[in-house]
This record gives sequence, structure tokens and C-alpha cells, in this order.
Amino acid sequence: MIDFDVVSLSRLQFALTALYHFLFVPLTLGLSMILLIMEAVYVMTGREIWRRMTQFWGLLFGINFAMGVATGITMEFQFGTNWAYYSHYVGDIFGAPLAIEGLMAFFLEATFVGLFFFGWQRLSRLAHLVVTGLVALGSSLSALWILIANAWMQNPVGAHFNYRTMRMELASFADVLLNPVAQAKFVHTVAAGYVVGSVFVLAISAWYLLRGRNAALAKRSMAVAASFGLACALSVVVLGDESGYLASANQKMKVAAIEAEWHTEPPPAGFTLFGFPDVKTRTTHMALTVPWLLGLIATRSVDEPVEGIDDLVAQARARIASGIEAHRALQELRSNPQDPVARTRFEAHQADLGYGLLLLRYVRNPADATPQQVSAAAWSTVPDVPVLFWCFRLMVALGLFFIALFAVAFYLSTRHRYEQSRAFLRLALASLPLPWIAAELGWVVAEYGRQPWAIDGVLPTFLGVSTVPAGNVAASLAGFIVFYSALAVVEVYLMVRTIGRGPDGLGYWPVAAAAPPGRAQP
Amino acid sequence: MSRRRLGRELGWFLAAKAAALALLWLLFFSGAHRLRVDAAAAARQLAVPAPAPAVAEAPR
Repeated sequence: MIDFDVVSLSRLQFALTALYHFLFVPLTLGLSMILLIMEAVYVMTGREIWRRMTQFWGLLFGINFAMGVATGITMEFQFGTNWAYYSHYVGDIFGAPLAIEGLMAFFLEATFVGLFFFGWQRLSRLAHLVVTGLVALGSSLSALWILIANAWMQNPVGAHFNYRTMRMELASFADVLLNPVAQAKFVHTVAAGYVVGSVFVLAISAWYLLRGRNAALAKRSMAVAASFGLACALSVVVLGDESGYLASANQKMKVAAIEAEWHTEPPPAGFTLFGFPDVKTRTTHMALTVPWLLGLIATRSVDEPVEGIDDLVAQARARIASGIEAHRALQELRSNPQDPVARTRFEAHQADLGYGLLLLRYVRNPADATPQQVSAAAWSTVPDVPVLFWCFRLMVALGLFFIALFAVAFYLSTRHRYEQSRAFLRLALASLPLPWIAAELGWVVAEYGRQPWAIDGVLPTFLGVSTVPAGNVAASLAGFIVFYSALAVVEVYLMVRTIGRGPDGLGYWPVAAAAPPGRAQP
Repeated sequence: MSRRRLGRELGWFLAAKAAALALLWLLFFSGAHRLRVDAAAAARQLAVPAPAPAVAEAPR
């Protein structure tokens, strides 16, 4: 039987390491693009300050990049150590984008990061700009392949179950690659990373202006962050809406849970701005609702309903009944793969096999499940409504705040009034942690909202774990907590020290008036 | 730092790193620690009986 201590500990370990890793990823994505913009201005104008800006922010990028790499590798190991059955079941599909990410994007990124730091004296300005562009491209490609893998977990297309090998097998790589969920997730996540980078540059620059240091660098950096950040913050909202629209088609339960949509309303459904979802009574107390809005966002129509949790649970119950048939046929096929009747029955019900597997939480053989166990399994398809409801609203509120923040920054930038607006500078500085909070909340909504599935509708999470002792997982979890805490201390120390010393205190890059023409100055 | 000394230090670092990785492999990833997951194991996990001998698959 499944050891649910192992399930809980493995989930906790993966959640902690993934959330921790994503503290570094968005800043890498955002800063790499901001470096490209700054260096492009340097190459176009030849003005020394833009090179120094690129190098200063590049140093912070480098510290963050190293931490991102260190924390990313451990996650891939966990698929083998903690999620062995998951890896067997879907490794054929899931492994391909991860391998491509490692071979293509990561090598590209890692190679050109070295050239970025050590190539200032050895490459021409244009060649160095190309290197910086390839670092940014590598970062984004890295995110692309990971998000293709993740999107397949949300919307498993281009694969089928093989009862002989007892695993999912790839049927169409093109379908996996062009998964619409992957495209929406990629642009949404990358744009969110750009917002993180922009807020970071804006906040640190604001700190310099408040201190009366590095004003020339800080004002130019703020202008870049404000304009790039405004465009990206607007994009995040639009692209997030696309993600939500796709989820309303293939992850209806997630959308219903995010909206605390307990019952199907007559279309177009209203959007609950605020309220307190109550799981026991399946109502939302003190709900403040905007009419029509949810229907328009989720279905982009006025006559299509947004299905409520009750109706979706009823559908899950029907799929569990079909899944029991699939499981029974699978048992017969494992005994006699040539049995034509069993094969026909399996093919008729195999789309619901995952729903049948949900019963393994309650009973050893799904065919023996009682109506109460079927009902419990059907209700287990509902994720944690209050957590999703609040995480989503907080994320959206922060997204809207960033638009306002960047809009004000952009206005002040065009008027050259940063130094007179100390209240805004303090606000920009105080906003520093907010984009990370928004990004982490986004992942909580995406991944916690996918539960109870590891692969939506295909593989329940609890079936993916390795058969290892719970003590082993607890020990590795403790090790991660200690090791990652140490890494966090190192990261914060290096970042604070570098920012504190600032471009004026770092004597690495004397202005090289004697640099040869056409060469990037040291 | 001379090139020779740098080479010696890099050599020591690489040797120490290789030893640390070998120790980690030995402690956590060597054959005794490796979890065997094949079709039969997956079938057991999904509560499907083992296949008839004629279709049994070789372990990976």
C-alpha cells in the first residue's frame, strides 16, 4: 500500500525546493533582458555609463544565476529519488523536454554567461552584445522547455497509455511542443520574470537615489525598468488571462476552485472580488460579486456557463465509474494481452483510467469500492478552495499594483522628477519583495490547483511517489532546509554587499579611455 | 599566483569535488539504493496483477 507519510513529505520537499528555486529564476529572466537593453543602448550610443550599468547589474545577475543553477539541479534529481513511479509512468514524455532543456538551453546559457563576464576585453562591442543576447535567449529557452514539461502535466496531450509497458508513451512530440497551455504558460511566466527584474532594478535604483549615490546610473536604470516593466506588467495581465481561459477549458475544477464557484450559475457568471469561502457549507460568505465578469473572462461569451464544483464532482463520479471499468479491463489485459474483449473495453474507458486510480487511496482494488468511497474519491478532485481563492486574488492585486507602480515611474522618468519624489522612491524600495510574492503565489495557484493530480486526469499524485522509507525523505528534506537556508544567507549577503558598495564603490571597472577602437571597454 | 600553483590548486579542488561526488553516489545512489521500477512494479503500484510469464518483461 501507499505510504502517505512519504507522499506528504515528498510533496512538501518538492514544493519547498521548487518555490525556493523560483526565487532565482524570475530575476535571472528579468535581469538578462534588462542587461540586453542596457548594453544595446551602450553599443548604439557608445556612452560609457551604459556599459558600466550593464556590468554593475550583470554582477548582481551573476550572483543570482549561480544560485539558480545550484537550486535547479536538485529538483531534477527528485524525479528519480522521490518520484520513481511518476518517472516510470510519464518519463517517456516528461523526460524529453527536460533533457532538451539541459542539453540546449542550459549549455547555451552557461557558456555565454562565462563570455559575458570575461569577454569585455576580448570581444568587440557588437560581439559582446550578441553574447548578452544569447544569455537572455538561453534563459528564456530554459524556461520554455521546463514550462513545456509542466504544461504537459496540466494538459497531457500527444501521449497514450501502453498497457504492456504500464506507462504513458509519446505519440506526438509536436502536440507536446505546441501544447497551447505551454505557450500561454511560457509567455506569462517569462513576462512575470521580466516584471521581477524590473522591480528589482527600480527598487535598488530608488535606494541609491534616496541615499544620494550613483544618481546618473540610478536614474537611467529606473527609466529602463519603468518602461520595460510597464510593458511587461501589462503583458502579464493579458497573458495570465489567456492562461485562465485555457484552464477553463481543460482544468475546469481548478478554475471553479479559484473562483469558489460552488454551484453552476446561469451564464454569464459573476466574479467574486472578495469573500470567505466555506468548504463545509460550500458557500462564500460576505461575497462581493461583479456581475458577468467571470463568464466573460473564463468563456469569453455571455451564454456559456462556468461549471460549478458540485457539477464537476458529479462528472468526476461518472468518470470514476468508467475508470473502474478501465482498471478491470487492464487487469484482464495484464493476464492476457491478446484478450480482444478486454482490449475493446479498455480502449472505451482508458481516458478515465486515472479517475479509477483515485480509488486506490481508499481501496486496494477499485472494483471493490463502495459508493461512499467513490463519492470520497470524486470529492478528492476538488483542490483547496480557500487557498486558491486567496492566492489568486492576491496575485492579481499585486499584478495591478505593478502596472500602477511602473506607470508612475514612467511618468516621473519622462519628467525627470525622480529625485523630487521621495515618497515614490520609498514606495519603489518597499515594493522590492512583492513581485517574488506574486510569482510564488502564481505557482501555488498553478500547482496546488492541479491536485490531486500529478498529471491532470491521468495520474494521481500519491501514486507517483517512490517506495522509500519516510525517514529517508524526512532526512533529505531536513538536509534541503539546512543547505538552502545557508545558500539564502550567502545570496542575501553577496547581494547586499554588492549593492551596498555600489558602482561607485566597486573598483573593478576603471573608465578605459585607452581601449582600442571597436573593442568593448574593460 | 603562478600558473603552476594555480594548476595544482585547481587539481586539488577537482579531486576533492570528485571524491565528494563519489561519496554522495556511494551513500545515496549506488545499486543498493536504486529503486527498481519496471512494468511489473508499476502494475503492482496500480493494483494490477503481475502479467502471465509469456509477456513478462525484463527488468530495466
